[in-house]
Amino acid sequence: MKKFTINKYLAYVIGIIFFFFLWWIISLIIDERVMIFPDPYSTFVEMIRILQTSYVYKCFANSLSRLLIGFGISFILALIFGIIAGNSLTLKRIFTPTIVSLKSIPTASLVFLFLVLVGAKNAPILMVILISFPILYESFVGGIENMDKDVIKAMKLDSGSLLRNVFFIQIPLLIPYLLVGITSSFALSFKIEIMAEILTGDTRSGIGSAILGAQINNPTDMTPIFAYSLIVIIFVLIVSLLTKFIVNKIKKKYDIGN
Amino acid sequence: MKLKHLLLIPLLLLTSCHKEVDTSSLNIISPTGAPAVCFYKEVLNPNFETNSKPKNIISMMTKESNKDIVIIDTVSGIKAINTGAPYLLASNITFGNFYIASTGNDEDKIMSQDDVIVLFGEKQTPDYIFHYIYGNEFDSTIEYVASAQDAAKCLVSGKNLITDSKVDYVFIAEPALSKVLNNKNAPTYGKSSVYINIQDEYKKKSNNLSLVQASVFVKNTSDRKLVDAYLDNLKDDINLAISSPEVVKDSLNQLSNEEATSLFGINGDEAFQVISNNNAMGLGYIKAKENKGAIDKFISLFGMEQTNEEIYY
Repeated sequence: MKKFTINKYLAYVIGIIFFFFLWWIISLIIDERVMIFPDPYSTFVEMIRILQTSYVYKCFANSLSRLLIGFGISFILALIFGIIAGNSLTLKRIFTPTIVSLKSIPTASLVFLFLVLVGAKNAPILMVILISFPILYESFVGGIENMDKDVIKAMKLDSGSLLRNVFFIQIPLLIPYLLVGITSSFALSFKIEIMAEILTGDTRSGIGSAILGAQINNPTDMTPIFAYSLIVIIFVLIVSLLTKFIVNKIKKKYDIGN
Repeated sequence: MKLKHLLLIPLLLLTSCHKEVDTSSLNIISPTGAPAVCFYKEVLNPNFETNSKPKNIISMMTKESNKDIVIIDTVSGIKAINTGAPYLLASNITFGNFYIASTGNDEDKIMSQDDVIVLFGEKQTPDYIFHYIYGNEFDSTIEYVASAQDAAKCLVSGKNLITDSKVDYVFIAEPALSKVLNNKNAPTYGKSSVYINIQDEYKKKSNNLSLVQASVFVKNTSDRKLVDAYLDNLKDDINLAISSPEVVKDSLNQLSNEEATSLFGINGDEAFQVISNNNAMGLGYIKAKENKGAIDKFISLFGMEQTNEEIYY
C-alpha cells in the first residue's frame, strides 16, 4: 500500500486551518460568542487591538523576565543535582522521594506559602522552579545514564579529577539532553508562569495580570481573554520553532544526538 | 483683629496642611475595586500593591509579612486578628457598594417570591447581608453564582448561563454594576436598572448604622508616627475624592486604561462616573474605634462576637 505523505510545511498549514476550523465549530455549537466562547475572527480582531497597546509588551517583558529567572535557577539546580544523581545510584535513590513529591504536589496548594515568603510579584518564579526542576533533573539524569558505557569506563580510568571529567566529558555529552529538557519544559514553564500570576492575583503587569484585568474590566466579554491566550500560543509556537531550529543546527554542527 | 484670632492663624495653617512626613516607605496592600480606589494617589508608588484575590491578602497578614498597612474586608481582617495576625483595626474606608439590579424581565417590577434572584458568593458577605435584610423570604428562588463577575453576566444576559433560567433580579457590586448598565451591547441594555440600594436598606434595618465593608489594618510593629501621618492624609484624600471625583480620574489617568483596570479594578473615567453618581462605591473614612457599634453589629451577621478594645489601633 502506498504511504500517504505531503510536504511538511503544507501539513503544518493544514493543521493550523484544522485548529481554527475546530475552534469556529465549537463557538457555533456553544452559540454564546461573547460571554462564553468567542469565535476565531472576533478573537483575532481583539488580538490586533491589544497588540497596538504598549501595555501588552510591558506585560510580556515582566512575565518573560520572571520566567527566565525561574527557569535559569531551575536549570542550574537540575544540572547540579542531575550530574550528582547520574553519577551515584545511592544519591539518586535518596533524591527520588523529593523529586516524586515535587512532581506530584499540587501547585495551587503552595501559593499561600510562596505569597508569604516572597510576595505576589515573585511567587511565580518559585512556581516555575517547582514545575520545571523535576523535568530538567530527570532529563539530565537520563542523559548521564544513557551515556556510552565505554566513555564512562574511560573517564573512570582517566587520572583527571571528578570535576574535570564532569566539565570536559559529561556536560558536553549531555548537550542534546540539556536541549531536549529546555525545549520540552520551556512552554510548560511559560504556562505555569501565567497561571501563577493569576493564582497569586498580582496586578502589576504580567500576562496573567492582563488576563485577570480583562476579566475584571468586562466580565461579560471573554474575547480579550481569548485574545491574550492566542498571543501567548503564537509566542510559544515561535519560541518552540526557533529552539527546534537552533537545536538542529547545534546537533548538525557537533554531530551529536544522531 | 483680636489676639485670640491672631493666635488661631498659625494653628489653622498647621492643621490645614497635608502632613509633610515622608510615608512612601510604608508597604501597603489592598484588594482591587472600591477599597483600592481610596488609594488613588498611590498610582506610581512602588510600595503600594493591589491583589485581585482577597484570600491572598489575608494570607499575607503574618508576623513575617512586610505589609505595614493591609486593606481587607472588615470581617476577614477581624477574623485574622482573632487567630493571631499581628495587626490592629485602624479605620473603615468603604461602606458598601452593593445593589440589587433588575434585569427588566419582571413584568410587575416588584421583587417577590416568584422572581428568580441571583446572589454571588454563597455563605459570604453578600449572602449574609441579603438574608439580614430580607430574611428567608426569597430562599426558594435564589440562585447562587460563584463571583461578582458571574453575577454581572446574569445581569447582562438576563439569564443564568449555568442553569439557563430567566433571571429577574441580581445582587451586584459597583463598579461592575455601572459597567453592565452602560454596556450598549448587552441584551438587557435599556431595560436593566438599579432596583435597591442595599446600603440604605441596611441602615434602615440597623438603626442607621453603616455597612462597614472594608477596613484598614495596621501592623502592630509599624512606625506609629508614619502610619498616623499616612492615615491623616488618607482621610483627606478620600474626602477630596468624594467632593471632587475628578482628582481620582486625573490620578488614575496617569496609567493606561488597561494598567488602571488591572491595578485598581477600574479606569479613571469609570471611577469618576461611579463616584460622581452619589458616591456609589461607598467611599468614606471613619476611625474604627469611633465606629465600634457599627462594626460589632456588622460582624454579628457573620456569627462573630463583639470586638475587644485591644484589636483597635
